[in-house]
Amino acid sequence: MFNLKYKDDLYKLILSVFVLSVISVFLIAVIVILFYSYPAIIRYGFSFLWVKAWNPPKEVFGALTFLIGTFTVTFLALLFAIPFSFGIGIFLQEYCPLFLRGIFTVIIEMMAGIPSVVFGVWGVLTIVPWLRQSVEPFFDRYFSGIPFLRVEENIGYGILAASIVVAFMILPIISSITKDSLASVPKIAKDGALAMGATRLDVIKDVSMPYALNGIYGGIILGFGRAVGETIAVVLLIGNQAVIPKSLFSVGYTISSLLANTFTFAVISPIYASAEVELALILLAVSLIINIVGRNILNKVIGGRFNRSRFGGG
Amino acid sequence: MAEQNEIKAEVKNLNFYYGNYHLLKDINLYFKKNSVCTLLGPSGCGKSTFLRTLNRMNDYTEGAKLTGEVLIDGKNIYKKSVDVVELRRNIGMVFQNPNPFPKSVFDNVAFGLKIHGIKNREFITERVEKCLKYAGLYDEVKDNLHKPAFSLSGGQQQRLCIARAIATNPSILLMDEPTAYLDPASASIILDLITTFKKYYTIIIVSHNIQQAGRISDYSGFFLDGELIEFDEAGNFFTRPKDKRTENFITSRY
Repeated sequence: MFNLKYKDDLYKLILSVFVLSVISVFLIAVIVILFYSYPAIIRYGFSFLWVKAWNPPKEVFGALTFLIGTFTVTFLALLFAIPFSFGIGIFLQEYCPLFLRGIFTVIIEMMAGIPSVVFGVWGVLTIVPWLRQSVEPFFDRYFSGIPFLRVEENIGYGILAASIVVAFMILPIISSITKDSLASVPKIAKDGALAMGATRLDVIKDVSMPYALNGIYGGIILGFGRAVGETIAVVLLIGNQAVIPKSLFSVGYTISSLLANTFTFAVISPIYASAEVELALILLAVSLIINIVGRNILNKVIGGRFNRSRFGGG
Repeated sequence: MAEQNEIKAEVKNLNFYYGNYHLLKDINLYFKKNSVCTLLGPSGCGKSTFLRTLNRMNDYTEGAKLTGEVLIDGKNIYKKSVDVVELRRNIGMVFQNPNPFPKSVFDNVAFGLKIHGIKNREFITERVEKCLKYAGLYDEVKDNLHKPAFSLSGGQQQRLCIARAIATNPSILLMDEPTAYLDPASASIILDLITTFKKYYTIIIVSHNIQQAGRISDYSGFFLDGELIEFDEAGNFFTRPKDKRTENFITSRY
């Protein structure tokens, strides 16, 4: 039988194989995506990024419509989610009674774990009818002259519906990171302001938030990463039409929702498939970069802040 | 020097509890105007907690309870009608670690003025310069007033915190081991400042450095396990302590 001495080495070997297999699957996925998108990259070059036509039968492919759709939904979702997340984070850390803080924190963290299809279904059942019956008629009546607020079809589905639901999905990420960043502000820094007669609001505004800001940026970037790749909820809500949205209430299409809807039959034509895989490549690149940047910021903040406050930065 | 005998602040039967802990036990003492009083004692004896009761910094500590009176200029600061913001404007505080705000040098000193509603830029600029001069920092930072405060050295940051504390023109300065984390040269500068400052302020310092305390004190108190063991003029305190425990402490037997 085995000598005990080698047992450790054996375990190490087995565990290394597990780790390496995960890494190699990731690398293989990247290689496959590069391989299949290669024909489209060669054929359409950089113009792929700014051509807006998407016509599979004529083999005309441009990503612009979907890029705009994706970034509009992401941007709006962040715009809706950030103020609420700041509010939630500040409340939980600075004002919430201790016995409630734990409960609220658990609820918010549970929200982060809800499957996105559930969010999508909820959006179809509540947000869409609300937009159709109340919000869109209101905007149609009072703001129809304003370009980005015009209601073209009063159906409830569209950019706004998708953005609102995605906002709910990234809310837990940004608010819990806001809370954690505020929690890591050194007490002595806050005491300094309190001792000068600052109110708690002054302290949050002038000391805690500036201290926590880098961490919060990291949270926003992670939220961005999630919003940019969100698929199922968006498929259910955005209306799925390859048009560049002209207003909040327009229907549209994002990269991920296009892939979810059409990739199964795109594989029939090699160049159609290749164009869609190139979209996947763009999405992969954007979310990878965003995640790496976000995590780096978060790590730096935690290291940097403690050194600074503890030893006076000297 | 008649003013020197006026009592600026007085503490009567002060007890402080945190949860089940009785942290301060029946403290009675007074602080004379324009004097320096050092509060000595081993770590954990309650001297910092005591200092924080003088500007109500324990207000936001959950589970804290206080009985007794703290009279400043004859008025009990724990009365319901007292405005804590106004109280703290009148009492500057300097902490153990330099704790500048994440702002520029200038904005750090201007902070107190701004939160108390002063908007006149000329007045603020003048006041900031004056306080930086008082704190002996002006010459070192006058070309970098808008650089981040964190770019200063530890000793400079602590003097910046002193400048910040005096900007609102307080009458009392509380200092919680202000030289504990500084190099000897920086510490010495701050001790000299304290000696000059008593012309303007009543100064109360928490310290566990007996040599430093002996050098700057007019009055001294010795805390042990939440009790004030002895309180006296510095001359008596350091040379003829009445209590054996005080004597042990100042001859470094703790």
